[in-house]
Amino acid sequence: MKYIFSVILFLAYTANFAQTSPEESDEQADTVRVKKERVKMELRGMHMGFDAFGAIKTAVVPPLIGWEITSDIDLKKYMVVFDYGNYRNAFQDTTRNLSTSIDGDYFRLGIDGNVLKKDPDRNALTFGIRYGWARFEDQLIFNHDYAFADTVLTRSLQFRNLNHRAHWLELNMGMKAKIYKGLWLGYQTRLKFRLKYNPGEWIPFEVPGYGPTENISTSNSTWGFNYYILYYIPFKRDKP
Amino acid sequence: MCVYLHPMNKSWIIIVSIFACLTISCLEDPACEEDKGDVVLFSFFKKADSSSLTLSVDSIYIQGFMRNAYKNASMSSGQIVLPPELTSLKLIIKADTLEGSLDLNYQPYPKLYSTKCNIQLLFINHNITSHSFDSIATHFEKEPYSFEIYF
Repeated sequence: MKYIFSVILFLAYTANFAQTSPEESDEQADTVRVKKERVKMELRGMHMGFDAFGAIKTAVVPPLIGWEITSDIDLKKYMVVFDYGNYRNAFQDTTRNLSTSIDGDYFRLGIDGNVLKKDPDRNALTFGIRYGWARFEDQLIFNHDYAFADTVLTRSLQFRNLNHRAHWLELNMGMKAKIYKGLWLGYQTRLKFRLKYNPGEWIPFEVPGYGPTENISTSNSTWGFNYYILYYIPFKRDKP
Repeated sequence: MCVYLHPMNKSWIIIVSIFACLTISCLEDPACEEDKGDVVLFSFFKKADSSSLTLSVDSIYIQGFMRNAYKNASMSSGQIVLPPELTSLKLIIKADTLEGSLDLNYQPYPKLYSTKCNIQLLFINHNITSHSFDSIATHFEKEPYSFEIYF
């Protein structure tokens, strides 16, 4: 359901960009066809910022601590993007004698294509791909009851992954909008897939940067979201 | 201080905010999965014609776990519960005039789907080595895991 919902939203949005009215079509028929100007790549500037969504979750949902910084090089048609983050989380349920914890770092590296190449404010609607990589440690402690020859036995079990590594791919869609002078807001929606990790002692509950792994046995993909507060450093001004 | 925003910028803020809210609403909680069990099934067969064999079992003792899985039972099949605190078991089977042993190795592999779910304890990497029986056929590719002992 959530996939259908997202696809409809995405199509509706992109269709809105592509729509032209009948009047516009008539006008186009009367006008002289002008050779389409090719947009050249040029180093225009860079965005630097942090994930506000992660910062809010850190403040509101303890003991979760998650931060992420992002930067991109604006090449007009394309943006080369690098994200780096840290994720720590723990969960404890005394009624089930269950506790789990995770601590790790991650980065993403990728490229975005910018649909709004000629926007005067350099606002951007982007589609891109990322490679994500994480290194982390996690631990799971729980009590397990099982019946053996009419006797119920309870065992306290502990599983730990040390120096665990994972990597994955992402398809991204996002926007970056100028708010005031150098201040920008932006978001990225991420379809994360092809998660691979070394086997370890237990199946990781979460992977830093990737998120929960609960769907890995079915769709092997998950959704992610980041809301960025950014600062834009222009390297050159646009020609009028 | 009043910050002037160009109408174009205002519409961008609205679009960015709406997409943010809609995307967050798409992040659903997962459904819990059933525990798939922690047993390995076994059955006895005659080597000559591969027919099922019923044995009067004196005991199936699990060395290392120091418990009998079965005692004084007439049976052609059964199941062995895999203790999650171990990674190998030695089964000593005494039946009629027969006595044999086999080593069963495995790896407990927990999966926590969600903090709202119970832990699913999987068992992977099963293998068996035997020094006593005529032959053993294993079916460890998919659940239910099982093996056949040929006499």
